[in-house]
Amino acid sequence: MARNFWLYGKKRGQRRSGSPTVGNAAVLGFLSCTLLVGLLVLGWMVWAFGIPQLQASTRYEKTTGVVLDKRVAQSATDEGPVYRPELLVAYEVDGRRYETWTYDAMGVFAPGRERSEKILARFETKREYRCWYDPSDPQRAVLVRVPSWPLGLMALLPLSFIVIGGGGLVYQLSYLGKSRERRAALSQLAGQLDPFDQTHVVDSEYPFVPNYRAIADSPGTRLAFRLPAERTEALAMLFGLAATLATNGMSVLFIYLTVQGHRRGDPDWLLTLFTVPVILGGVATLLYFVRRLLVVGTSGPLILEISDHPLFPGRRYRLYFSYGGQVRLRSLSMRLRCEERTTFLQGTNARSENTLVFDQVIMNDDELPKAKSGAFELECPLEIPAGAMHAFKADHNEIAWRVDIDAKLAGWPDLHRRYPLTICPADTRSSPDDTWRVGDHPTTRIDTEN
Amino acid sequence: MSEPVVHIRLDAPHEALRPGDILTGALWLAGVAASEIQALELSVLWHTEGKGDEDMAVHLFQRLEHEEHPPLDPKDPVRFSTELPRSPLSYDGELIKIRWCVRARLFLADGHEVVKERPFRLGHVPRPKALAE
Repeated sequence: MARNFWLYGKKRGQRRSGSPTVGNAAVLGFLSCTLLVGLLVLGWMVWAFGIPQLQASTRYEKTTGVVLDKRVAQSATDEGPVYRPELLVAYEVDGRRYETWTYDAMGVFAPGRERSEKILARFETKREYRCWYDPSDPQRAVLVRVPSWPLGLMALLPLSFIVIGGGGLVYQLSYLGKSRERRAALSQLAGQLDPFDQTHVVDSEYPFVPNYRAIADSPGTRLAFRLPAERTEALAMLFGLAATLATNGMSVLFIYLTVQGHRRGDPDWLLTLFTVPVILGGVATLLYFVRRLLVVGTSGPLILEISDHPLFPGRRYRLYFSYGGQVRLRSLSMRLRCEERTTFLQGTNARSENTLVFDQVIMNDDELPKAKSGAFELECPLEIPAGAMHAFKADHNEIAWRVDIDAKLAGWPDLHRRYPLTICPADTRSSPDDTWRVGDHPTTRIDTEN
Repeated sequence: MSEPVVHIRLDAPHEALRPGDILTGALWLAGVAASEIQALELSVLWHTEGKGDEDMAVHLFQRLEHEEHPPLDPKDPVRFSTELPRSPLSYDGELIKIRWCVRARLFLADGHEVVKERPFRLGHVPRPKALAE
């Protein structure tokens, strides 16, 4: 080796300076221990509880016994005393009398004396009950054979260790000693075969170009396809609602505590002083939320349709924009943008960074004519630059295209919408019939007034 | 004794190829005896560089084991051929760069590995700054 390796590597995202061999050995060791612990605990549970329960259910013979006495047995543990119910049962086997303290096959102690007392309350002394005895050892008997479901749930814990440890070991060993390229090829093949996870299926026609086929399921009314908007408005509304509830809930609480203090004659003036900005914050978030709600309610749908999809560099398309709100549009701007998006690990934190690498005005009108109603429509050309990079999406890196619409409303907050586009690599196919040349058909406003 | 070396040659007269082109070439070994070879892997792949964590995908993967018949002979070049996909194209962006290459990885019997890359361009996408207004 050219240099010594360090057992502990300085964390610099993916570019660690430690030893992969030591790292792999540590991971394998950890997974092996996890698997071993799971197997040991599960094995102990099966031996201590499962097998006795199974024997009682399948091998024990049924008879009738008399309950002579009952008690709550107690055992001391580090976490405190634990209890289990016990009943003194007398029964006969082959003419011989037996007496034994018993309840079920597992004999598990549990915290909480009340549970044991509740069980004992179901049995009366000097009364006959059905019981089961071990024919190979008649001194052993039980009064109940129903398995305890909490123990079944407890088995999930060692099972999870087995799944994590065993699954992780299989995964690590299958990739151990394999080159990065071979691991990548195997992962791609596994992703193609997984019927439950289609997110890693690579499109065979345009590999790593984001899925554009979904747009085909969204036909337009005037042009071929309707472009879906990014769900930013819904998220903003959700955030606004959550913030409004949180801040106003705090306001109510602070007001209540302050008023209570004043009514008792023991006012907390610091609390009183602090309540004022809290109330102001609650009112501000409430006003913001109500304003956004009114905008969404009165602005109506913003519809963007396109003449063809997916798009190709060097081609021209038509866009159709429709606004159906009651509030008048004062200005409208549409831009074609391309953004590079990356995610990376910085230590143990995942960070992201975006940058715009293309920004072109599609149309920009600062003074739209006043209309009787708020409704507004227009058609305009969209030209994709000849050298444009196609859309691209991988696990940590993405090149995304979109149309941004910014609209100013008269007396209301501005509207912003983003409509993702898919641009495929340049194709040599002939131009579609519904494209047109810029200059032949400039931006056209559609008069919606009668 | 000289270090093992892997040579990769592409048949294309230039380094810029187009989607759908057939990429052909050959690789051969020098400075290594046949008995020292454990396996040879050949990949045609793309990977990202830049700010984000690396993404990589393999378009063509071949692994040649020395135990196969006939066994690997360092004197014989290993030829490869594959039709290049439509995407992703080579790209030199601000945060993201997409690089295509042919990568050969020689596994030696003593546990060492020798890696050699031969980059090439797929498509011709200009740098994005030329497009920005």
